Order: sequence, then C-alpha cells, then structure tokens
Amino acid sequence: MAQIGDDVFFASLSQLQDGIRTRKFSCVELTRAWCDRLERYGPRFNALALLLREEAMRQAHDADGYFLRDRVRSPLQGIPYAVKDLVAVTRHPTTWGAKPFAGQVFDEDATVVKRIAKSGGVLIGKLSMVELAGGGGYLFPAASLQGPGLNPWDRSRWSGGSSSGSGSAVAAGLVPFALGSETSGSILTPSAYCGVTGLRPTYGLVSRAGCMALSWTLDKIGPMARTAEDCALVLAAISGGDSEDPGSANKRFIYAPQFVPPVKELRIGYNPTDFTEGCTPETRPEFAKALDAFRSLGVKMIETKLPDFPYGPMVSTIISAEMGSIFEDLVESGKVDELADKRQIAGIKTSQEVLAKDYLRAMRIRRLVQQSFAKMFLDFEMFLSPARNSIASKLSDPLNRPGPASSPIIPAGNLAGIPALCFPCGFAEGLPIGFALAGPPFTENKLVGVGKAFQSATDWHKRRPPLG
Amino acid sequence: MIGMPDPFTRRRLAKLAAVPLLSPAQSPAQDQPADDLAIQRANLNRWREQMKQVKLPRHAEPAVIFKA
Repeated sequence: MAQIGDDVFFASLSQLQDGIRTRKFSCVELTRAWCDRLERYGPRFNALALLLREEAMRQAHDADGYFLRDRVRSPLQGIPYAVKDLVAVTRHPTTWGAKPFAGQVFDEDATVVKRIAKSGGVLIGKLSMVELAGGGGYLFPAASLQGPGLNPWDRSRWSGGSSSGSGSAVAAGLVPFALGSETSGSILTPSAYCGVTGLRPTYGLVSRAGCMALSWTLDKIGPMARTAEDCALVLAAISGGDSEDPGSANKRFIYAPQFVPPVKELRIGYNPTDFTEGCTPETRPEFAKALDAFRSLGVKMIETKLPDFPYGPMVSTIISAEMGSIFEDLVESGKVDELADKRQIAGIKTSQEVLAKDYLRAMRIRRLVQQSFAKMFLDFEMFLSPARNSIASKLSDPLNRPGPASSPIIPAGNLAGIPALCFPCGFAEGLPIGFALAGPPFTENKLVGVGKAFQSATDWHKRRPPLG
Repeated sequence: MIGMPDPFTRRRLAKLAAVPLLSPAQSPAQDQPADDLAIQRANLNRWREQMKQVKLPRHAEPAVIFKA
C-alpha cells in the first residue's frame, strides 16, 4: 500500500505521472486518497458539490490497466480532477450552484468531460460555485447552494467567484486540477484569491457544450491548477473544435514549450499605476516586489495603458441581455426568487428590461475594443497587471465595497476574447495575490512559457495552506 | 461566470436622484427587494449613459457574426 502524503497532494501533473509510471502508487491508490481528502476537507471550505467516488474508482482501475499495458494516452491519464458544478456529468445532478436547479440531471456529459475521459483523467467530483455563475450581480459571497466559498488560507475570507470550489479545492490540495469557467473574472478571481494558477483560454478554444450558458459571447471553460505547465497540459486535452458549440473557433491548443521565444526577447506592456494607486494599500509593497521578480526574468517592460472604453458597463450590459434571454423562463416561473442573493434576483429580473439598442451598442463598441487590442499588441506581446487589486474579501463584506479603481483587464480581456494566465506572485496579510498576464488570441503557449519562467524563479505557487 | 459585480458605491448612488440612499446604519443585507430592483434598474441606466460617451462610427458592426 503506497503512502500518499502532502508531497503527492501538492505535486504537479508531471510528478504525478512519474509516480504512476515508476509504480510509487497506482491510479486506484491515488484516486482513493484524493476522494478521501476531497470528502473530508471539501465541506470545510464549502467547496464540494458532489463526490463521484464509485465512477472514479472504476475509471482509475481502467487507467491502471492502460499503464500495465504500457499505453499512455496523455499526461492526464490516471490523474484525478473535479469540475465546477455547471459542467454536465451524466446521471448526476448539475445544479449550477442554484436552488431552482438542484435536481437537474443531464443525459450527456459535457464535451470537456468526454475529452478528459478520453485522455484518461479520473473525474472524482463536482465543485461548488456562485449560483448561476453570478449572473445578475450578487452582493454577498453566500450566493451559492453550498454556502460561501471559504478561502483555504483564511476561512473567514472568500475564495472568490464564481469558480469558488475550483479555487479552494486546488489550493488546499483536494484535487490536482479543476475546471472552472469565466464570463468576466470567474477563473482569474478565485485563482488570485486562493493562490493557484488559472488559465482563461481564448474565446472559442474550448467547447462549452454541456456547460451552463450565462453569456454566449463571453463564456469560456478553463483549467485551474498548481502550475502554468499543468494548465497547459489540461488545456491541450480539452481544447479543439466542436460542432455542438456554435462559438467554437475550431482550433486546438498544442503545448509546445520549445516554440516559446526566450523571455528575454519578449516585450511586456504594463501600467505602473495598476500596481500602486490601483491596488489596496496592503498589496502595494508585495506587488512592487513581485514586479521586481518579474523584471529580473530579463523581459523588456514597456509602460502603457489599456485603451479607454467603458469596459464595466459594456460587459454588464452584454451579460444582462444574453442572460435575460437564457433565464427568461426562470423569471417567468417565479423560481428566480428561490436564489440566495436578493441583489442577484433583482439583477436577473431587470435583465428582462435591457433594451436591444443598448445591447447592440455594447456589441458595436466591443468591435472597437477588439480592434484597439489588436493594435496594442503590435507594440508588445503581452500585458501584465494585478489579477485582483486586493486580497480576498471578508465573508461578511458586501462585494461592492468601494476601493481603488483597479486595472480593467478582467472585463476588457473578456470583451476582447483574449487569453489570460493568472499566477501567484506573493502574499499580503497572509493571503495570496496574483498576476494576470494577457496576450492576443491563441497565444496561450507563450503565456504559459512566461508563467513557467516566473514559477521557475519563484516559489509562491508551491506554498500550501494549513488544513488544521 | 462573473468574478465580481460591477462596483456600485454610495457616491455613485447619490448621483441617481431616483434611487433611495441607504442610511449609514443600514446594512445592504437588509435591503428590501424593491430597493434591489431600483438599484439594478439604476445600473442599467448608468451603463447606458456611460456607453453613450463612446463615439461610435456609423459603420461599426456588432461583434456578432451570423454564418449562413
């Protein structure tokens, strides 16, 4: 019987693969250990929506069979993982984190689940989330079927949303990686608050078929993991064209570190005020140190500013309009009132009142945003900013508390459909902070290359929260 | 899949005459549903006004592609 301890629970995907290949542990042993851990500690962070132990053990047994025959389908073979509870898994509830959908069961797996199954990954559970992925605008972290997402670094703080369970489960070593989703910030926020690495892919690179729709033109599915490289390995498995997703770009991501130019040749744009006045005071010295560490990689840093657009109003209008149509029946049935957050209920109700001309105006300005970003990326390859401009908020704090005007990279990047990598870059008051590195569409390979270089030079991503 | 709601500060609220102000002692958690609806409607109006500030070329098409 293999001894599986913290070194395994916080190992990278390639270390886990090595362990399986060298028979340090089997896929069954790994899966059993992770199921036990997720079952024991998941509820401690309100992170667990559903444990899938039985199916997982079967998949792990199959994966061991492949290894015994020396057949390795992908770097994910035999590796346990979990998904945000808006990803459909056959014959099990997919609640979308919301009471009105608590009993919802789909008869087909989401494309991303099928793809990871084909790669040999072992699905061990579903993770909690903000109800309806936050559509309508929630005011408190408690807007979830499982209660507020608790941060493994400090349970009196929020884990971020809306991929709350994915963030805290990866941070606490309850899964080696998880899938999250982002419409505007839902991968980057929990990644930054929980101190994990998250990759929001280019719009259309990963199929959303079988996943809850909040905004057809903004939704993305992406990995949250321990390292930039782990995110790349997961993205390689889940990306690719899908006729079931009308937004599919029909492109695949191939992880090819050998094609990443040396970081010293890269030009990175940044706005210095994003790291000073744009941040809360307790994070400023830590971001300053992190920027120094980033500079010491040898990259050329270019001072710049993002193009000036009303990103927040645009993204909110687009989400409201599209969500208004998607959840029209929820409003008409009156079941919307079963949601936990009153402000969110009101937001979904008023989404029925968005004017077509406002939606179209937002979408027309969005075209200008795309053009401006394309032009901006002629001057440098990537743009760096804080992923969030503060540490995780207290659970009791409303989420609209006034603060410094932060970098608009989250709404701007989502409107432009560009990829972004969030990676830990320090701690302030004992809580993680993270960088967000964004690049032009389909440049995930380069973003991962830079993230990997930073993680080779620092150890923020290796820190482990005390489970107590 | 929204990370955080759009910030809605008391200062901004004060600019919108139609919206009742929360008293300092009143926690937002105690909002009445009517207040929430008014706040969300005010948000829609505010977003509209902010987007109107952008000079939009007449030929700018929405960022949606219809494929036949």
